Amino acid sequence: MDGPTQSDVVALGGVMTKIDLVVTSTSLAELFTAHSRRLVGALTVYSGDHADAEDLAQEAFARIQSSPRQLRDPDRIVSYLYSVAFNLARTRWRRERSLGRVLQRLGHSVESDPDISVASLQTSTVAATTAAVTALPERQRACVLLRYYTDLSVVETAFTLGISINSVKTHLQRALCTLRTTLVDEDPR
Amino acid sequence: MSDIETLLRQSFETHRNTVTVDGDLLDGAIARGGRRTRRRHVAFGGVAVIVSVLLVASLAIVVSVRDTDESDLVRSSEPATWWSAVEITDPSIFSGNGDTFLGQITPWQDQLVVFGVIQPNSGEADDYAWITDNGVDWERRLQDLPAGCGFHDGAVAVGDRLVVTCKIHDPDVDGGRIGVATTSDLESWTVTPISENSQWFGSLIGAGPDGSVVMQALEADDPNTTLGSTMRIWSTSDLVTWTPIAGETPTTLLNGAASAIRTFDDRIVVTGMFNDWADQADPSVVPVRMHPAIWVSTDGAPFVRTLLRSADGSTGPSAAVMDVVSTGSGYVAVGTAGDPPSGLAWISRDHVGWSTVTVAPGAPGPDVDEALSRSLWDVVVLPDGTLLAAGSGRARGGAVAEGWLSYDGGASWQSVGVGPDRVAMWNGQAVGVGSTSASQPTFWTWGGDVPARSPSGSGMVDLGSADDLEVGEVRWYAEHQLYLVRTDSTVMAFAQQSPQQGCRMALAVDLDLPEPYLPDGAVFSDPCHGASFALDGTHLGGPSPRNLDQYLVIVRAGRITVDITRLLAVAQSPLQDGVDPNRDS
Repeated sequence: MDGPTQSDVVALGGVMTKIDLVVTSTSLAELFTAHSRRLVGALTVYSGDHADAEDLAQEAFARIQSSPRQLRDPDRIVSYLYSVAFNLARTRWRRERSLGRVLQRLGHSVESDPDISVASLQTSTVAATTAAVTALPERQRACVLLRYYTDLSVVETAFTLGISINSVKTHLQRALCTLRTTLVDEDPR
Repeated sequence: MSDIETLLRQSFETHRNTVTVDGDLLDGAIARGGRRTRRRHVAFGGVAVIVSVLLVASLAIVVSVRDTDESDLVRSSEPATWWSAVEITDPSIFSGNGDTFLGQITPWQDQLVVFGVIQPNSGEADDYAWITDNGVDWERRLQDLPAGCGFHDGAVAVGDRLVVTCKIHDPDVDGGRIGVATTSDLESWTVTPISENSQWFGSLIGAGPDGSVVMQALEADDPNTTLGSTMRIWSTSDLVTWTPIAGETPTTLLNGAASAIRTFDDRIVVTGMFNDWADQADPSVVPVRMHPAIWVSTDGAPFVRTLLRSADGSTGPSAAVMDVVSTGSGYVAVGTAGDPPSGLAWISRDHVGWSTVTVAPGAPGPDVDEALSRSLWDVVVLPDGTLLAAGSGRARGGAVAEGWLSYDGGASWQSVGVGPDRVAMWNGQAVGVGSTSASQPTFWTWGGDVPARSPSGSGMVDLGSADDLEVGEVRWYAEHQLYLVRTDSTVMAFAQQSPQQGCRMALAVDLDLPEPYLPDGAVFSDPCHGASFALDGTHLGGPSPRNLDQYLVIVRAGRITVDITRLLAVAQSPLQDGVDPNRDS
């Protein structure tokens, strides 16, 4: 038997280069300090549930740690982190998209999310906004959160989600249209 | 900024400032990550480029090119490839509670038998045989072999019987005997001893001349090492009476698992590696002077050893001949040698004088672990005379199973892309097994129903002289809709359709992309979706499921010909790991 030497084989189009850097726990800690709140926050709005968001974020951090990657430009790992996290979130969302559960979550989030407090805006406005975003279709929601919550550019959003730039623009346009109707038109400030 | 964008940003900023993150979350992630490293998907070891946030054209460019190019170009289906992964009825049949390692493929009783093991996450590995009569429907059998017997060292089909090797241990004496176990139904086995009692290492079994069976094993003086062991070979015509064949190889180190016993007319050829450890000052040190070697016995005469060479004559960390075939006018052996180890072919008209051809060059790294080492494992002759070799390349953390073919008897080889790492002929067709990961073994067939084409076939187009194509140059052939490039090591031809949606690939320079938005090394760009690719087709960023699609390129006598009828099998883009990390769970 040739054992693992032959069998943990992967195909890369006949091209293979080496990997030479594993995300160390030190760099993971730095990444965590810099991005964990932003990530958990965005995932909270995405999923409507803070505990779920922490789960997803933890899994995302774990995965980038265990994936040896060549980090020539450390900034790029941020995009990778968001990419992993939102794919995890999407997978979970697909699993759970029974309408009843989503609605239940929404109610929970709007009424009792303890992580949202009064700041420069009325609590109700923030809660209404996040709830409206949570209610958006999945791709629109991901685009809105990456674009406006984590402050990625349209281009970065496209790469993070693995979709085209024009798709991001379309999703954003439709999302903003929906949000304008539900948030601004009904509740003029 | 619109009113709604302002509202979103302000609301999100407020939300962000109130988010709390449990400090234990990071510790948990580190713990989970640590656990996961053992199971990490080897694909991560590939072309390691992080999803790039940089690469993109401005909207104006995207829109303008898109208008002219998207109309007629959406792919109707996935393109045909040389090696195709078979969609088997029950894909989970190769999987178990652990990693699966598939080994030798043996046609037997009109069926195909693949031997392998499933190594659970803990505990002993189980031997299995997977059996099919059509390549699609597979049956898995747990092998309950007699003690000491196994498929690890190969099996040979003799009529309706299947023969495997055994080491029969006698509790009353030190050491044991070499033997075979035979079966006609994979359930009841008959064990036959061959040798006297001794210390044995390794063993191989293969078909000999005129329906005979040849058995090889190493007899050692020292029960702890193969160093200085002697290769013993027996032959039998009835699986009962075994006759030794003499050799002149007092000191050998054979890699039994990787080597082969082949028979061509009245010649028995054993492939492996030879270690001239007698040259070493300290025989207890693991030898470094290993040579690829072939032993040939003609018409029952003693075996004669021939040492083969790496391309530059160097001895490296590993060297062996893995397989050999007869082409009618000569012999072609494949294996690995050199430092770093390269995948090599050796060709000979008379099995005495051999010339070395580099098929798949290895690449040095900062240290031994980082170097790319390559090896060829199997070679078969297709019905039209084309040689098809399978092998793999390994670097730290990852490996590629890849195929190569030669239309000219082994003198020159062309990549056919990703495929199996073990191949065999079955019902006149080349088939193979290989694992894109230890948990996802795959059964492959060569070229579907269409036999491999010769250079003069209708799908071949002549693209002119190879001499004036410089390294780094990209040529566009409008009539064939392909790009031809020369990289440092080879000539490649890329289909113009992008892998994503079939948009026409453009040269990145023609798109006039702003400098900061272009990743290092981007040569091709998908104007519809913004993906970019390096000179060698590697996916650098943007939406694309895989690297650029390639055609088979043949460079012969200074002329470049390209087969535009089908593509090389190309793996998923390594960037997909960033896009779909759930692939490895």
